[in-house]
Amino acid sequence: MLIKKNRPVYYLVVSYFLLWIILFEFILPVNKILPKPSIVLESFSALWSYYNLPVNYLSTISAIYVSLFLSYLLVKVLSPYLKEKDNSITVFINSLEWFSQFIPGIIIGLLLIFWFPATGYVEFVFAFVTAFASIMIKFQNESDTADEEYILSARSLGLNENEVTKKIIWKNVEPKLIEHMFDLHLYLWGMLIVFEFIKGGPGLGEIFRKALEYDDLSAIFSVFLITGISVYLGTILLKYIRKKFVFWK
Amino acid sequence: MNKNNFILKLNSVGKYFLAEAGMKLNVLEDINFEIPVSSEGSITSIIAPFGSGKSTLLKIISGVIEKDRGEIFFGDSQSSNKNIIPLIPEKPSSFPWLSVRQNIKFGFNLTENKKYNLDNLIALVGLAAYSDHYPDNKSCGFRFRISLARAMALNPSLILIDDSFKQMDLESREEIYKLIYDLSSSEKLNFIIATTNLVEAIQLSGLIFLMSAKPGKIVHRIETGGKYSPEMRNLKSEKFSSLKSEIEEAFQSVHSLKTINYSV
Repeated sequence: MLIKKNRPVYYLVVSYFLLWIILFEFILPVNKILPKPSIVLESFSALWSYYNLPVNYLSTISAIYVSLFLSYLLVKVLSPYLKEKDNSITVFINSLEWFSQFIPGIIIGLLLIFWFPATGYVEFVFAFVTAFASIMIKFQNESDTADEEYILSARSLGLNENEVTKKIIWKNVEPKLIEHMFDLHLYLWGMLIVFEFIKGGPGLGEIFRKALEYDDLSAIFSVFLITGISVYLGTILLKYIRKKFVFWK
Repeated sequence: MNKNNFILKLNSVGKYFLAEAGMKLNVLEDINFEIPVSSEGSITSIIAPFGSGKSTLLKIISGVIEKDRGEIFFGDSQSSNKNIIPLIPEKPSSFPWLSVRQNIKFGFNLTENKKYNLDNLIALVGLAAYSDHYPDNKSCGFRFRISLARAMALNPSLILIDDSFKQMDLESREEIYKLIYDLSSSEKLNFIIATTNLVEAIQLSGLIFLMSAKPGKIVHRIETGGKYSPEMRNLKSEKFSSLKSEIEEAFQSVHSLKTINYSV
């Protein structure tokens, strides 16, 4: 579906790959820009054994998608409470968000990285809190624009406010929340890789860091490809969920 | 046995909203009317111009918003589910995340007092062939039928319809008029329809209330002599013409009624 919609873009992407293969395999095999395609293929086995790819990959991917899934569920469960914007969770998150108006997120992130140990657990908590706050704010903003007809109709059928939020407003805004997750999961990928890169915790960021230390261009490029493909597959999965399970407009 | 001779009675009901400057804006003032019990089911129209507060009135009857003044009484009827008065809003609100069957089941799950069987109810509103379809991208008439069946699932004493027909094409409207009449007669259902369409009100209703605007007030009560009668459906009949003239004259005496739709 993605390919059908963006056909010209995909043709161009394929031509970049072909250009890379032709240029760096045959014309410029030794360079500091991009690695030779055949070396990239060979480096996958080194990534597996030397850079501990399976553990690092699983660590990053599970932190991203488990936190995304759990925060989505938690916002859903708490939706009647979160819908009111004066609740303590919202006030707390908004107070933190206030700082981000003046301080770039990466600087706040650096401070947090300094405070907390480099473990998979902390990484998960980071991802979870970010995803929860983001989904919560999106839910609150979208619930203000939920279709009045559905709400009116549900209230007239005898549903109380909690039921209206859970059964009507949540369903009404769910497509927009899923679409929000397309961007959010990409953001989480970036955030966690930077966290792992700086802190040296388990994850793909750790591979990037090691590969930079060893000046291993082929490993960097391989992880770059793995990350890109993973994000692409994640987007496909979310789009499938949108189409199959949250199909309404 | 019926203890009261009305389905619904409003005594001096009023509602105001606070304007930006803090002033009270009277939306409804001293609304008084009564809908008598009918052994054959009734269709009552409230005809009023845009912005007269008829939607507010229906919301108050339905219990969705609170009134500021007056009293509302629900009389005894064959239904025992008097506390729930479903309202079908202007844009029929079948939930797009549920299929036809699930939408109607949604209504069933909200009541213990089930009068219908799910499949029968789906068939009653003419959606038997579409029970697994989803309402997204379906016509207004289709979505209205779902909303109607979902409302009926609760076995209410009264169903409120807020100008839901105006977005339908003429053919769909005619089908829905017929459906409402059939259901009202066969299932002894009572409907209140708020509309801006004079012809619709005359054709469908046994009883019509005219409502003025700013503030909304019942200014006239007309009995048509029977809901959806062949005479009233014939736009050229003498009775239709005289009733139309009567309503137009009543409206002309109140200046706020220019936005009434006098055409089909």
